[in-house]
Amino acid sequence: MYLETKHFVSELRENIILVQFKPNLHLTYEDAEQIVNERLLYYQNLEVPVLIKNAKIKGIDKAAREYLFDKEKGLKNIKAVALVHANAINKMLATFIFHHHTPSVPHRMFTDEQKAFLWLKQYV
Amino acid sequence: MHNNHSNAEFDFRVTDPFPSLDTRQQRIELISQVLMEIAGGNFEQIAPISDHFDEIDAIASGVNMLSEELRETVISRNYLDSVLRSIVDMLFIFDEQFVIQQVTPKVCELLKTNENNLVEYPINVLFDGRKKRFLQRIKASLREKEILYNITTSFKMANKEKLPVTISFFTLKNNQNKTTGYLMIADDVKEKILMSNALKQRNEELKTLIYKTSHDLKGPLASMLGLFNLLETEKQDILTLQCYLSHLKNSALKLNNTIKGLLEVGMVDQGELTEQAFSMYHTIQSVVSSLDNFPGREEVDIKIQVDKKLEITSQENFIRSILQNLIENSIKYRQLNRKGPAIVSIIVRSQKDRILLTVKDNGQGMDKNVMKKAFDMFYRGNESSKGSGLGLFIVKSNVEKLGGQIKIRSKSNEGTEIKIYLPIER
Repeated sequence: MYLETKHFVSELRENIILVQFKPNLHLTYEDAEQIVNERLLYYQNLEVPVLIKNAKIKGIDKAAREYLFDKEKGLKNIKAVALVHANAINKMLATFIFHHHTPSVPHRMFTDEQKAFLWLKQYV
Repeated sequence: MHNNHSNAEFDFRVTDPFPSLDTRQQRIELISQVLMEIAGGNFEQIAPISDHFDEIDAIASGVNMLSEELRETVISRNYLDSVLRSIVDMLFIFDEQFVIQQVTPKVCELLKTNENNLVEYPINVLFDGRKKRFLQRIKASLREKEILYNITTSFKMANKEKLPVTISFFTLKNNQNKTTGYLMIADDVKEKILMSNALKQRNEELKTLIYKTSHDLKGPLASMLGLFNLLETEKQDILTLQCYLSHLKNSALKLNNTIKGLLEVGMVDQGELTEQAFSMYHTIQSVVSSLDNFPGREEVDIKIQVDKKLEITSQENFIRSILQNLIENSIKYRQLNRKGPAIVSIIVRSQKDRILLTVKDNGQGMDKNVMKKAFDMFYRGNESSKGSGLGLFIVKSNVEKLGGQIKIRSKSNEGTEIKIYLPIER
């Protein structure tokens, strides 16, 4: 299952959703709402782990961070989160988010996408 | 499966909002400017992020997120401050080591101190040095239970007095459920204790009133009934009849005195204060004139010193009652075998926002033991006293109801001086 929207491209592979955000985004609350609504609309009630690939995201507003990592909103139907980072900004974003908006589901940061995929498999 | 949503055009066009971010030096310069703004309390400025996605951009991104978090903290803090300022109870915030971080203005007002003497000081500064173990127990209980309610104790005030309080503690935690401090709410119970004591006193007075009233009414009534019995059953000559009638009159007068006094007590307790402006001179003159036929009046020289223009705003009938009782006492308890004239001086002086009313006589006076109880309800200086024992009690009650103060000085066989301070306007 492959989904492409204004903000991201995603694919369901072996019951894991892989998400690639489009480059140079600065996500606002409205963006976050749209991202979550599109995912829920497309993947319906599918409960899956999510792998967020390294992207060139420039920033995420506080309100957007809170929305995306809220158990009942952004994390709805998500069993685990793996964040892959390959640039300094994404590492900073991931570190900050995991510290200040700690997800209620299992979560880890990776530099290697394969390792992240393997780790998520236990939550399928 | 491929799905292109309605908005799914893949737009990779990059618009660089910071085209001038060419050199490392410029980028660092801009980040440091944002940091300076944050330090000054401005959280609106954003550190620019280039397309390099390098460490400098990561720092800029971190600074931006930190700025957002700080902004929310500051807003919350300002909100909390405004709430704290509007709270009327005493409220303290401690850190996890029980060091005072913040207090409400009410704390400083009641403890008669200022914030500098409390903030950054340990909780012990609020209590007497002997309460170390009490505080240790509180801390231990709080770590175990997290909340403690209504503990009765007292604070040490700046003037070394004690302020009786009940205190309640609440544990403050962060979103990781870690204790970050404690909140204490203290309730000043001084007023409650004073009120409770006043109620107890009123209760005692009421008991005395019932006991003494029945006693004072029963005595003269029993005498009168006995005299009527004698009049009905025995034939008497005119002289004996006159004697019985005189006894009857005395008993009736005694009853009248008691009932009059009781009515005045009732007036003090139930009377509502309706103030009016009036001339002290005219009121005094009027009271003195009303005593023209009072037994013994002709033997007493009453001197009045008062500014004819002096007006006060108060409850005139209370002041009339005060004057009447004091002048009556001075006449009743004049020295009967005195060589010189019996003198009563009534002096009124104005002092800023109050007046001083002095009633002074050269009568029988009182010794220290009598003087201590002079204002008690139904207290009579000696057994032969013909008064109701309510006069000075009524005077004191009236003065208190008018928001004034009363002082007495007296010496046996020399006289009595009563000073009353009353507000010019209530």
